[in-house]
Amino acid sequence: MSLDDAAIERLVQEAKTGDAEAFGHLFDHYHEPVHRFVASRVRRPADAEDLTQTIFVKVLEGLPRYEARGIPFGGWLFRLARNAVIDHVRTHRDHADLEVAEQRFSDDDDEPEDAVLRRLDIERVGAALAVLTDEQREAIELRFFAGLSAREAAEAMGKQEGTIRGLQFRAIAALRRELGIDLTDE
Amino acid sequence: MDDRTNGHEMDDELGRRLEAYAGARLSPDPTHTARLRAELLVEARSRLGAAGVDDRTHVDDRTRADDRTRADDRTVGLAGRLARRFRRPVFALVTASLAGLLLAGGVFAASRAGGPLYDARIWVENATLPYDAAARATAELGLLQERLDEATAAAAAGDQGAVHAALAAYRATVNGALAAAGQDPSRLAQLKFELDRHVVVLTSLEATLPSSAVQAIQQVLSRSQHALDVITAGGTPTPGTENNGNGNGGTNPAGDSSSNRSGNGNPSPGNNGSGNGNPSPGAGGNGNPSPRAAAATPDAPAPTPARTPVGPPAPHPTPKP
Repeated sequence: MSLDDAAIERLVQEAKTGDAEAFGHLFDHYHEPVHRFVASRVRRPADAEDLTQTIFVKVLEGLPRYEARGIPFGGWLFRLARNAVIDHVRTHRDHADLEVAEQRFSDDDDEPEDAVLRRLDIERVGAALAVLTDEQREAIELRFFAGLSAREAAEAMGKQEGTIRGLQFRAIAALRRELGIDLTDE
Repeated sequence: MDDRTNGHEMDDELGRRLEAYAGARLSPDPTHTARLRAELLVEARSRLGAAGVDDRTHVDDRTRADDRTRADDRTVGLAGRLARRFRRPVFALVTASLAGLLLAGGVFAASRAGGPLYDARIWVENATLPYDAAARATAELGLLQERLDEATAAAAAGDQGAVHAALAAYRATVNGALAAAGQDPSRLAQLKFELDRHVVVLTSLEATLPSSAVQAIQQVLSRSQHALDVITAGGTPTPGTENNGNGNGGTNPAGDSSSNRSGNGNPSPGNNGSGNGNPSPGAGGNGNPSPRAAAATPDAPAPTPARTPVGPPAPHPTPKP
């Protein structure tokens, strides 16, 4: 579901005035990004589901108090999500463990050899992500897994937009290096 | 969404591989997504207070159930929506009312004779008596009747603890009523009339009670008889006649009632051992600070010394008209 910033703000205003369906559309837009972000930070898929639910309940509770004032809704929402993840990790002594997460892709349509290659590649990506610093990995999670803009990611992480771009640049360079991707090859 | 996601700083291959990774490991389960959406919409309607038209694409059983509910809402119209909206406040109000009733019921039960709040209730009743002498005397008579009713009810229920408590309170109220009547002939006559009647009730009650309660009732009868004697003698209690174990020694109208009530059958040890020769059971110079001993009045007119704890009602000093 693709929405531009104006459409999102309109939905937010409608939800604030009591339109539950508008909130449903916001959920449709943000659920997968939030879940991806959360799942990349917690150990167990079940925790990711529970935490995602908690985050949206918090959004629902906080929505009447939300005022744009230059802060994009996505940035506000992901700041809530980030704080919830931090609380969860602190409470459960949990750390992002990219290797434990359950793989959910289907092998049905693949040839066995292709399926094995895909699994291997995904494991390599997981290992490459594990090499990044926490901030670099979070920047990748927000920008590419959750699909936030640099501004939204900056709002969520409480940093300057330029800082996010720098983290992202270094993270991409490290990932290329780890995965053996050479730009000159392309 | 100025520069959202792929295709900017990231080359195609890295973007594709990250997306494959995210799709395999980080994407939500569609079933869970649908269930969560349905639950959140219910919650959103509850919190945001509105029901709109749903054209969402994620549909599962629960979501369809939501649709049916919403369709019902449209059918029911404004009344249904108002009922739904006010369901929570009404529920809260009903819950609060029930809690209040339970609390009031608990307090009421605790303030009955023998209950943990009974003494507190007696104290409050005494503290709120009117200052005006006539009104106070009338109120004292009402309290006297109330204590008698409590004792009768407790005896009927077989609750000995409640009988003891009610009789002890009755005894203290007799003192208060006598003090409130003061020297006024009409008030004294009215009190005498009531006491005469009560003595008859208490005497008949005595026959139905076990020995320990009989002792308590004998003490009450003794106190009532003493009060009658005082009234007959002209309404002026002899000094020390109201020494109900608390050592205050008299029926001073101004202060005796409260002081006697504060004693309320719980005299300081030794007060009853004043060498009174009171033959009533359990009383008389044994130093026992129990309410039973406290009722031993020094100059009570020989309150049924031969009365046996159980058995048919023994002849009681008949109140003089």
